[in-house]
Amino acid sequence: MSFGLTARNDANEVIISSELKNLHFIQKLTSPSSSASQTTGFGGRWIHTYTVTNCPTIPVPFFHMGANNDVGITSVKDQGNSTWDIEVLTDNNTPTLYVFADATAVQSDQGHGMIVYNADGSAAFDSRARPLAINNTITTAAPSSPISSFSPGGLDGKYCASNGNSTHSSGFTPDTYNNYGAALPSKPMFFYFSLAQCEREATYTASEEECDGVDAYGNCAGAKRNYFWSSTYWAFYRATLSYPDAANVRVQYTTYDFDCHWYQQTDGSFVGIGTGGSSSSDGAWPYSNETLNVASNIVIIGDAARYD
Amino acid sequence: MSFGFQIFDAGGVLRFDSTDVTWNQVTFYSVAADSSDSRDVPQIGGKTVAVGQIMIDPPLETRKALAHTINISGTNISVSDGSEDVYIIVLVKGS
Repeated sequence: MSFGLTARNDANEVIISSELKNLHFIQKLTSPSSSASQTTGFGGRWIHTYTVTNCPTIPVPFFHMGANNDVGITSVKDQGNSTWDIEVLTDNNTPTLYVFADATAVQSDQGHGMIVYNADGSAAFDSRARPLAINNTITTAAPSSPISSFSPGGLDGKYCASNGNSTHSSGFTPDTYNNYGAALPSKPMFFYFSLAQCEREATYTASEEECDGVDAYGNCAGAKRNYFWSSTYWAFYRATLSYPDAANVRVQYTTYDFDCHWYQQTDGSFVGIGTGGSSSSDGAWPYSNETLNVASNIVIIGDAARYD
Repeated sequence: MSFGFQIFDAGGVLRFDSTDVTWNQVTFYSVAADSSDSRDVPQIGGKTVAVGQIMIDPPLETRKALAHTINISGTNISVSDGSEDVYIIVLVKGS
């Protein structure tokens, strides 16, 4: 560089530079602005929206949660007027968000300190806000499937009658994970955006015959109707992060949504000659039965206690 | 410490010093669904690079939500083949 400022750490890494932008602590959000879809079924689910205000640039959220709690950021959306909504998928817990952003988002009335500017005049570093310091960085990948042995049983084929019940839940609860060794501080916070997603589905059918004529040795002589039902139960998952202990982080899936789609058909006949039929269907239909976006994903780990 | 720098807050608490490690942000930008982006980012040259991809919209279970593929070649970052609107955050670390 021919001008400006560079500060390096003991490892000779640049930590302040007028050619880069430091991330600074902007807000701590201990509670969401809204929450939805809470359940203890399907391994647990609670989807929160946290709102970041007075942030003219993109917020970089870290989250802290208790051990063995699953958390993943699934959406960051600009709502205008320097306001951002951050959607967080959990397995029924409420994490704390530590929001960082570049120095243009620093709001301080302190009259002293040091500000480093980029060549374009925007602030690159502002000592009035706490800069992001990290403990560790690891690269992770989500499992290829959310469930190690997918074979749900006991679901009703008629009209999705088992939708959302304990049988549906137990058959679709995610149970796979990948562990990664990482030394964690006593109060870790994580930068992790959920990308991997998958859907699993299972179709159950039922059929019945209704005879208006005479049952002759198991065969209907006369008018009869045949009923057929099909119900496709499904669950949709997104990757989340957790830590089972102070030496590991874990990537697994958390249920984002579940539902069922049913189809019913009736065929009538009289002495073997078709007399017409009808059909109907209802419910939500999932997009496909596959896993997407399992490519490597970075996790940055910091110490949340520095920003309390 | 006998050399380096320390930054204290107004209360005298040490907040940052030259023993710390960090990722610095180079840039962020959005890439629209079903489109691509390729740009030269000279600041990443010679550094460890982390490119974060954030989906702008909440997950939809009714259609395939493909993340973009990100490739880094020298100081060029290309983003393509995704079906969702995303933010791209480029972070660097190193000398």
